[in-house]
Amino acid sequence: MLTRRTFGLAVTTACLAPALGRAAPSRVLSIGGAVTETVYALGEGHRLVARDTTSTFPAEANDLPDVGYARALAPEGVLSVNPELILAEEGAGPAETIDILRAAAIPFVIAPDGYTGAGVAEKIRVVGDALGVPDRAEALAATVTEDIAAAQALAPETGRKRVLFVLSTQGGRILASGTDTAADGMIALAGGTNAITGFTGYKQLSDEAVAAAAPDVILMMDRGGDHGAPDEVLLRMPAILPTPAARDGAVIRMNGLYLLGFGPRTGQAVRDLNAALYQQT
Amino acid sequence: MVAISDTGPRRDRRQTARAAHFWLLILLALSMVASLAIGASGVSLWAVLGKLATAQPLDLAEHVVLFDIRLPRLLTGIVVGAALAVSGALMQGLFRNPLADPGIVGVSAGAGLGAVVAIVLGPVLPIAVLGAALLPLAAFIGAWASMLILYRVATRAGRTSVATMLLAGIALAALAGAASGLLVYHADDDQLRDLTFWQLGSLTGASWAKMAIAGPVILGALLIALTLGRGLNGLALGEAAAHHIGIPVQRTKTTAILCVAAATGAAVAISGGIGFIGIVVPHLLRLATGPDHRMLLLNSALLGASLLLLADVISRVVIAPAELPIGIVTAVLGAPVFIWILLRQRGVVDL
Amino acid sequence: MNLSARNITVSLGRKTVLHDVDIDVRAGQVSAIVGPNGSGKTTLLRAICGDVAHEGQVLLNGRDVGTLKPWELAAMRAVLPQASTLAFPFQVIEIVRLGLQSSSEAESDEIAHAALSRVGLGGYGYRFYQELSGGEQQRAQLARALCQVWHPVSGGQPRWLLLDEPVSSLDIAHQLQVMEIVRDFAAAGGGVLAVMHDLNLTARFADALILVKSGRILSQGALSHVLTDENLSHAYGYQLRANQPPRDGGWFLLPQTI
Repeated sequence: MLTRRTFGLAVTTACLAPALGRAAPSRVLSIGGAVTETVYALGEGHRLVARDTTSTFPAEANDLPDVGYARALAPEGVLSVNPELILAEEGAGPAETIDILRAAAIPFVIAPDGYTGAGVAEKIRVVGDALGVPDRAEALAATVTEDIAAAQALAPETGRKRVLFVLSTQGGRILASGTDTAADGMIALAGGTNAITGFTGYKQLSDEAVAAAAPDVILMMDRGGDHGAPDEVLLRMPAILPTPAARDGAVIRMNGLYLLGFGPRTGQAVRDLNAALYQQT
Repeated sequence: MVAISDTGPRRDRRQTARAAHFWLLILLALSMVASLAIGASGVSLWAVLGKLATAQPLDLAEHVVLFDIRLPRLLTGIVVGAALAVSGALMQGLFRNPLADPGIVGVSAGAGLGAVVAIVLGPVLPIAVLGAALLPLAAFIGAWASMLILYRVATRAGRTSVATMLLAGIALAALAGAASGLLVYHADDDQLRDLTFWQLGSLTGASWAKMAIAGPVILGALLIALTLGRGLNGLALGEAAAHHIGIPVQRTKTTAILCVAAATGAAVAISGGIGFIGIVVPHLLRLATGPDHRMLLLNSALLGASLLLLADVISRVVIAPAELPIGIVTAVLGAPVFIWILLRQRGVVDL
Repeated sequence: MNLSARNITVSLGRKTVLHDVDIDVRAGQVSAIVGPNGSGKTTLLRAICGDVAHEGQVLLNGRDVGTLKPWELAAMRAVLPQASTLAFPFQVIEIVRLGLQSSSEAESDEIAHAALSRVGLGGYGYRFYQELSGGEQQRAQLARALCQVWHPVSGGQPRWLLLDEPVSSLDIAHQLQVMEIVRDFAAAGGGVLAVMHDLNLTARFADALILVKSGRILSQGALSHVLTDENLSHAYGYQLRANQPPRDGGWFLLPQTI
């Protein structure tokens, strides 16, 4: 985590110099849902000329041209929207495209990822600096940090609930979050305990592992298709049936970008998740 | 499978095949112009040519779009398309089966494993110093290694059995698939997305650096492959008969296999998995101008290059400013054409 | 100039199919390898063609074929296999042209078409090989082989036709036609060595015989020397009597029990 953060910052400072040297860029391309959200939250949405596929909030972002998936950007597609500044989440690429964009002398700023309050604040500051509105960014970062801290304070000291984040139940197989994910970060911020700590990332779980994890609550993204298997189907899955969550019928569904974006809305999301965890029973 | 069409030509097909050299060259030239002229950005090829002709300076965007994006992409499209089509024709000639492609002998599986290793293990291994070169390098090594393993397995006392190679290829592909699966299991979300995009293929990452390495490998392999026409014609009669008419059978087989490994390995390394060119192109040409490999190989190179360039143009304009992976375009266009060809033929005998 | 094989031993797996076989064949004659099924006739021909690994030496016009390049060998002899399969939809003329070694295209085309006419497939050049009947395919393959050694004598040296049951899927008229082609080739100075199944046809066209039984040569030499009742009966394990009807002087042969 630490190394990734340092890398992000190093690139940021390297790229920022030319961006700051001239007048604040008016044509901005935003890559990454949280980055786009942050631009809008800073009141700079009017400067955006295009977005990536994952940038779906706020609604007006959907009206912008879509340059494709963040990790598979086409250089000419990016150049065709004629950006003066590119703001990207960590992991945007591929490297060949970034090289060409550098050759075209377009400032490319990478906003670091981080699944903590400080991480969100850092992301907001980097975006704000690149857009030339550091003061507003500082204010927003402070608000968000406070939001998160306040929401965290709502979590009980003891009796924390065990939360299982289920990414998908495709074909009856449960793909769940281990540690070092956005979901893991959110569960911690909202005062829960991740029921699965045996691996990092998202992996498929055996039925018995789910039962052994004994989650009190199941957390899912609220989106159509099989990801949103109805509660009664979900809770009757053999893996989930023996868990306390099934007994209590405890399923929480939240919008994916809202829940996992780690952007300006994260404070609110933490509060919502906390409320859903501890006020429903 | 040998398909016989009732409406087949009743005349000497050598003239048709030679005329095809000419028409396919024209098609390739047009495709090249299209590839240079069409793109998401507003840069106009004609405006740039005008400026070059009058010695005016280009602005940075024009320079980058034309010389750093479209031109390397054009060249990459040509060599990759030619490599895939010629490799397909070589494999079909070698295995005496119009359905053969480099995938059959484990090249794709090997390249895929190399790619998975690079994507998943790249960040944690000391080989990370190779940076962006790691993925293509690993894919190339994977393709090349799997081909050589099969070749060694299938060669006994100086004779290579293509049947053994085919069967061992299936086993090796399964093994490589399992190894890939193991790594995929350990991959994180981002790596899985990278992998999916790699498997769909794209010319997006084309660069001068990659061309400088892959270009000569592919061109060398293709030039050597073009000398195999008579040998492959002879092999169509069977290995014994080929020997009888003076074909150095073992040398032909070895050369064909090494050419395919080099050309496909390098092509897959720089463009990912692009399907259907290797099967559809030789098949179309065989229908049009006959199976004589002396002309088929060159025509395959020309048509493969042209079709890949056109597919690439489609891939970059259809959802601009984003790009569709080119493997999707070739499959969407290639598969229906292929099925239509099969349906149109009256008799299909001798599978 | 001769075709000779010395100490040919062929083992397929653990089984030895040919035991230390020596043969001598003269150009200008039709020589036939005969013998019962499984005696090693075809294996002997394949050893001579270099298709199976063998011990011993094969000399063609005095040169050891093991040391010759495929194309050098191809310039000296053509081979007609017993059965052929073809992978792609080639036209008949394209198959025939495969037999051509290097020469100018106009001359080559002339030879290819002449060879097709020679085997009675004059108008078939632009048909698809797979559309032909089995017998027509066999004759098309013969035309390909003829193309390869179109001139029976080249540079003062005989060229060779090695044929594995060349008439096996032909009707009687075409059997005779093919055997006449073969006889003419030999008469023009070329060498012919054919594995034959039909003893009557063999007796009518062959000048010399090699009689094989159980991987060994039972007898070889002129027709009258080999085609004796004793040899045949021994080879085929069945009472056979060779006869010569006085009318046209040709040999004929009937199986009969005495």
